[in-house]
Amino acid sequence: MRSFRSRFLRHVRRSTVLPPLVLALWGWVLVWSSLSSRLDLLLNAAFHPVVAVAGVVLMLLGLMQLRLAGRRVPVAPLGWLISAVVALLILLLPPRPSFSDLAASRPDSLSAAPSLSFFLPPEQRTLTEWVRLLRSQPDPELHAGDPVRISGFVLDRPGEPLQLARLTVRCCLADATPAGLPVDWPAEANPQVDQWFSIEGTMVVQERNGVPVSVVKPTRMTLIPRPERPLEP
Amino acid sequence: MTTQASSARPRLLLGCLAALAGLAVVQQQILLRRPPRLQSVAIQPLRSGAAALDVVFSRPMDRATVAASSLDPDLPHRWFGRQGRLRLLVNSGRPIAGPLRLDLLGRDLRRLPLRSQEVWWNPRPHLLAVVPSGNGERLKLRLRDGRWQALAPVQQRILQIEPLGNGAGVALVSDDSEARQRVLLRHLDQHALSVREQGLGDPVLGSLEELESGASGSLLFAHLSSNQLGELLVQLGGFEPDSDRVWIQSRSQEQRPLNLEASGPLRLLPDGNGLVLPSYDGLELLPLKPSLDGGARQSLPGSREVKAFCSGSGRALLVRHWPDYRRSLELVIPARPPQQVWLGEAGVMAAACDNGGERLWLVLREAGLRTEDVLLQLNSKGQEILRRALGPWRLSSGAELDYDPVSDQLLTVVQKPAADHGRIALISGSSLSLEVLEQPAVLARWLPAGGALTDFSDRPR
Repeated sequence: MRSFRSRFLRHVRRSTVLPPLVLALWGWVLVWSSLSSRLDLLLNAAFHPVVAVAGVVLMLLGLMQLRLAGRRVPVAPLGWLISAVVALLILLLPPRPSFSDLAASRPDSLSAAPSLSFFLPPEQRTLTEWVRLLRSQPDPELHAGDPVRISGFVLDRPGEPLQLARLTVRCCLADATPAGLPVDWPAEANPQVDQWFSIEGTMVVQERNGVPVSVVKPTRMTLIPRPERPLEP
Repeated sequence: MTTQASSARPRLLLGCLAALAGLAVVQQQILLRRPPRLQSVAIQPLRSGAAALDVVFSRPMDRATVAASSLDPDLPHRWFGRQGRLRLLVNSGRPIAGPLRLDLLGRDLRRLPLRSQEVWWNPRPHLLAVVPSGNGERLKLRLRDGRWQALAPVQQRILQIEPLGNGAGVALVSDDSEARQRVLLRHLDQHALSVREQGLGDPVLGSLEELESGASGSLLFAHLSSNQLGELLVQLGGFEPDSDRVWIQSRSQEQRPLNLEASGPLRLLPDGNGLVLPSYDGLELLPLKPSLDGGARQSLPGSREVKAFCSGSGRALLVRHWPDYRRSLELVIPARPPQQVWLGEAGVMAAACDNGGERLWLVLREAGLRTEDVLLQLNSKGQEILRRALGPWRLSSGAELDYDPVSDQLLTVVQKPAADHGRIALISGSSLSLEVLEQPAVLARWLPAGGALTDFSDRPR
């Protein structure tokens, strides 16, 4: 059995079509990720076309190599085979990321937003815009009573009450930065980590750890599915 | 020979790599042990309380340790913010009577201590007034010792003064008997922050800039507006159709023309991101940077005019004129319909609000057998808190009600019916007690304290 398996693997590695097929397979992974919105979980939307084009180029390269495959007898290294298996696993297994786990271990140093102003009606601000505004204008009394309409996932940070958060990315998950807002969760609410909520309410001032902070007081909470594009630029 | 050279090359490469790695380790260790530094301290005009300072550190700080910094006199204060940008908010509830000394301490998140730094801060504004002078009028600044300093040459008549919101200057509109209007801007160098007590002082006069010389001919009107970034909007209207000109002068004195058609005076929003444009259908709120703020205009129909901005909260006070000749005062809170806080037949001569829009003041004039001006204090729900008749005094024509949160005082110009000139009046925001200064005046405004400190060496500035 063992010798059959090693003979089969050797045979596959000697196959002249393995490298072009692996190239084409990875090309398809990139194209499929762009088409199926999987990239929305990994990458800023601005870069999606680049990935799709790279996938098409890889598939074309694979096809070109396939046409030339008969003229040479290459022996593919084991890495080609492993690479093909990884590509197949990516295609077969849909990703189920925990944004809360990711966010809990990331620094929350959002870029400053000096341009964000009081001009934008408060209920039109996204969660990330609220967090940026509160960083640039941390005086909570300036925002008390403002209407809030935001959505995000439940973030669990060690030693802190559950927040409603979004992940912001400039490029991809590698630079993901969490932006979280404290929420005065109603007694009947039972928010679970990574659940997505849409919240309407007002910004109130509450004392937390001896410091007045801006806290979202919900008047209406709705459990929502994860948005198609959960990452914010 | 070739063999020796080829074997020396990898050794050289390895040596270079090792040296670079060593340099990186040394650099990392130096940075790791480097204590946090103070980068800047700046007066923050956008605040809910009496006064605020923005303090920027070179590293993320532990706010609790920074909050142990002492303030002298020990006024109630709080620290807000996170990472390396913290804000000190003084909300004493009583007037700040003099300079404050802040002894800054703190540790960064690695527990490395900040070198103790003393910062002197005088958040009180200066008083600006247009005073009668010979055959004309002159813009003057009241110094801390009570003397008055002229800021511009004598003009035949001064129609408006507009302090820059960052305290870096004051602009004026003057006109002469032939309706030639001039716009002048006096730049000022503020000394409201220093590392030494002796470094605090009155503003030092900078250049006098002529923004409109009047040489282009007679003007129907000229109007100025400034925001807390120190930008100045100049609006000029001629007698000829399509002769209106509007431009904004930035802090760096660059002028940017605006293509706007307004039916009245334009007002910049205090935070520097938009302006209020009176149109024939009502008031419109326009972003100054449409690409950043969505670009959408927000409209408020009806016959309304802006009376005051409550600068910290984005709120504003509007006067609405009704078809039956009544007027109402409205408090506008972003994203909510205007909230009527007063309605009546009296004329609303002036109005003001505190930074949060929680306390509102208005001067009403009842037209009857005996004209009398009455000052009202309302809360944000429109409930009357205090009322005071101004007695023999009346608000001068064109006088505004200018609120200073630092001293909790309203500034205006009042006049007795038979008098030639008005006098400067200071009114307590809490008790509405009136103090009329001896100085004759036509207009008066506060020049806010402003400026930033980035040089923390102890040598004299």
